[in-house]
Amino acid sequence: MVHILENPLRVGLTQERTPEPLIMVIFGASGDLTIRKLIPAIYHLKQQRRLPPELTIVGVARRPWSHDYFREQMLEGVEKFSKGIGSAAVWEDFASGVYYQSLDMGQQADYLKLKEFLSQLDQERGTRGNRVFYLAVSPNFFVDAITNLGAAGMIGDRTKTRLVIEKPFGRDLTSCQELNRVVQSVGDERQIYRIDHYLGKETVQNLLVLRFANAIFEPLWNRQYVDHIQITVAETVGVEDRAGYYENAGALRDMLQNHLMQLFCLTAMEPPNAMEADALRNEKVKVIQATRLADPRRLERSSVRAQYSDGWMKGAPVVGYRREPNVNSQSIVPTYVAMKFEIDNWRWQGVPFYLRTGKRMPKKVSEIAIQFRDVPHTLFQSAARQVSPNILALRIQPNEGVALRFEAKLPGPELRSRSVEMDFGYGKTFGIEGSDAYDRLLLDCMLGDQTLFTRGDEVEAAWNVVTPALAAWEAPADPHLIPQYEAGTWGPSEAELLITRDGRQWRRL
Amino acid sequence: MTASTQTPIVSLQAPKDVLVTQIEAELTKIWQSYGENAAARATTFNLVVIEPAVMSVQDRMAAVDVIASQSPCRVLDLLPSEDGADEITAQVAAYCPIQKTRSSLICGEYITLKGSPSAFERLPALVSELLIHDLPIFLWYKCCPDFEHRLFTKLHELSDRVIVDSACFTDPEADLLRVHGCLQAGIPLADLNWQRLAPWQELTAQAFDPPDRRSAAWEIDNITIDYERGNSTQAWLFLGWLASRLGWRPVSRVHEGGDYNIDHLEFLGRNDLKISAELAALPIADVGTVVGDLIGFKLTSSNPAANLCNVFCSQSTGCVRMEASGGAQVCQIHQVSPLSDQRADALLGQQLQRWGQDVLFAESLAVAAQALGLNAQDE
Repeated sequence: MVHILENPLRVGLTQERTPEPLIMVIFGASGDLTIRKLIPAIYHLKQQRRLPPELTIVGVARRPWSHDYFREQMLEGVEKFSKGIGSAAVWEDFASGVYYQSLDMGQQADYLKLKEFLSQLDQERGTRGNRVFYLAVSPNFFVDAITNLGAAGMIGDRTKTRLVIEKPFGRDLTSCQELNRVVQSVGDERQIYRIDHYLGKETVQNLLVLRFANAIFEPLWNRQYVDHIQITVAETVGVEDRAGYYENAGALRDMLQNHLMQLFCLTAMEPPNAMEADALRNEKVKVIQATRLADPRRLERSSVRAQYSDGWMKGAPVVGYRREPNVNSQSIVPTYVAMKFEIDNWRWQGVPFYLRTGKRMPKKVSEIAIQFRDVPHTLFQSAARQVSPNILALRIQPNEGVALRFEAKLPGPELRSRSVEMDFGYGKTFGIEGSDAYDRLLLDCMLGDQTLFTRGDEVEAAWNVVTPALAAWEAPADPHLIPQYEAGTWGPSEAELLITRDGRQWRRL
Repeated sequence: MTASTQTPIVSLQAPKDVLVTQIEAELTKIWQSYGENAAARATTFNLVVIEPAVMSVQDRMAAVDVIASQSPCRVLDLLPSEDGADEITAQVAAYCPIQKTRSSLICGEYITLKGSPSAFERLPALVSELLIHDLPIFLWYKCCPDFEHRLFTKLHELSDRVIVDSACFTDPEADLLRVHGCLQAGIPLADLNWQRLAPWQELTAQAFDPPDRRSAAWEIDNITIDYERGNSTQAWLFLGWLASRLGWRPVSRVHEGGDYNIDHLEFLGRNDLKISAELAALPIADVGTVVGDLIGFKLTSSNPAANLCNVFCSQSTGCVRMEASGGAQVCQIHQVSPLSDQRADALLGQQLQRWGQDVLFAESLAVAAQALGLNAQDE
């Protein structure tokens, strides 16, 4: 075993670590994600002095842009989609490390040119051969990019190169396994960072703190005390200008299989041994592997899909999904999905998890609600005629925070109770804005911390859970049989039935 | 870019003169006049601020705005007056940072207590009464505290953390020794000037991060530190940090003086390695808002096999002296990129998120104090 000396000057400074000098190569540099999220996030890190001065960014896309034009585009992005550049000197310093290289994703020769350019930058900028390749491109290009990077010998050095892959990782279990095989043929799992920006959100990470830094919740976090759990991610927007992507994805691939599944994992998993990448991810994999659709043989009892139809949002009429621009008028792609999961393990046996997500819903809201069992015997009259169950609601957005609903005595001579809420709000308590999800994840990736990134087997296991529904929904179907819900409502009646059948109801948020 | 420039503050109640005995009642009245939906009263900590005798209202409010924009809190602003009156006067105000993402306001409160030095003798009891119990208490001395004064003693006993800024110490060496004495006595004292060293420390550590460079840190046997003339605390703290990390023991100090007010020190390191250190105060035309910032430093080794010559310099001031005599060619040059906010009020926000003692600071200051305590011989 090789003994590596500790850096004596690093002791005590660990909280403010900055990454080693590196080049971040962004594929899809002319795309929305780069301009809206990635560059503003990296620039914000620069403003916070979290980056080494040598940090270099190379944007890669097909368009024949110059370095200067790319810098102008990125400047526009930072001004428009973040708090602006602040000090002109800091921007100048940042921009001097930003470059552009035109590349055709399918052309091997272009990768060799890129490789040469990166080597030249290593010399000029002192980046020591360290690379992060960020695939901010359509999933159709993942295989081409990974294969060509591998063939050009650009991700061979496992200690110096990392690969970041945006969701969706595969279209289904088979394609995910195939993509994992391609990735693993050119690199090691320790080099792969599958990004799901939900894991970068402060409140999602707070779920770990809430569960594992407090002694009072974990003893209740099981089948003995929990009746069921609801996870909701509702959007008010429609398909917007993403019809091309959405027609191939739908709500299941776009939201449920990744974002909601991550929230589910963090809620349901066992405590990890340590806050380390593999310790955390092992627990996530274990809980997903124990998860299944509640009744895969009678799919309608555990999964519902639907599309929004014409309706009203904020008093204005909006068109239904099939009438949106560039959407097939006979489309069967779901814009709403609700599922009921069950987990076959000691902690959760018999406790259903209801997950729902949809577009064109009345409110933009994400939350996890843990509903506890009823009291075994009612002693008091309630103002609501029946005692409401205790609910611990973890609000991911908006008004990030945690609320606990419990019964309290109504003032007055009679002994009657009423539900009240004890509410913790991030904004109210800390007043400080949390860091953006991409800030956090990009920095983690540059530092080589995989804790908040998904592992190959975890993604496969997540696809495996939804495969029965996916397989049934992929089959050709009469568009008239796809349930509809009016835009601006909380989903179709079929989704109501999914939960009311069990004597429960969706939370009105 | 600091929070102060990003988050506007709205005043829910402009400063209002009240009787000292009516402070709580007046605050309650303010909050009762607003519904919970319009403006929520919130307090996450108590901040007691000791203002210098001379400070413009604008400067005073700027600092509070920064704090208010970060966290709702109860601020007790203690303002010495020179008018000779023996009574303590009070003002109350409520302020709310406007967050675009929220429709309602989250507001904190601001109590100003003004009095002559003799009236301040009676202040600790009043402060104690006005603090919100069960919440952390931070005591911030904007100017150098009088460590022996009764007010300091009484107030630090109430506090979870005492915050000072050694950049404004009038007698830097003696005051640093007093800070060290406080830490030894268990007073949880933090220094904003110590925080200003973070980028320098980070960059220094980074130079020895590669596994093949780590052993080189133990070969350092010469360090030259340049700082802005006027305050030597950053230079001493930085030297103390480096020495404490590398296990150097100070053995001698010679004060050369001259234009650069140079100090020469000798340390003994691992295996009795002799280490020489030089601290030089350089005159700078424009020192900015903080006096005594580090300008640069150079780490070298007389062992050629160590291949060690690192120059670290501030990108804003450069470091010509370090790069002279071939340094620019033979040394690896590291630049600390522009520091956008090193003002005390901006640094304060970080201090308000933790309390108790900073071990790294205590260990570094302990070595610096040993070196300062050596009887300096004049050359």
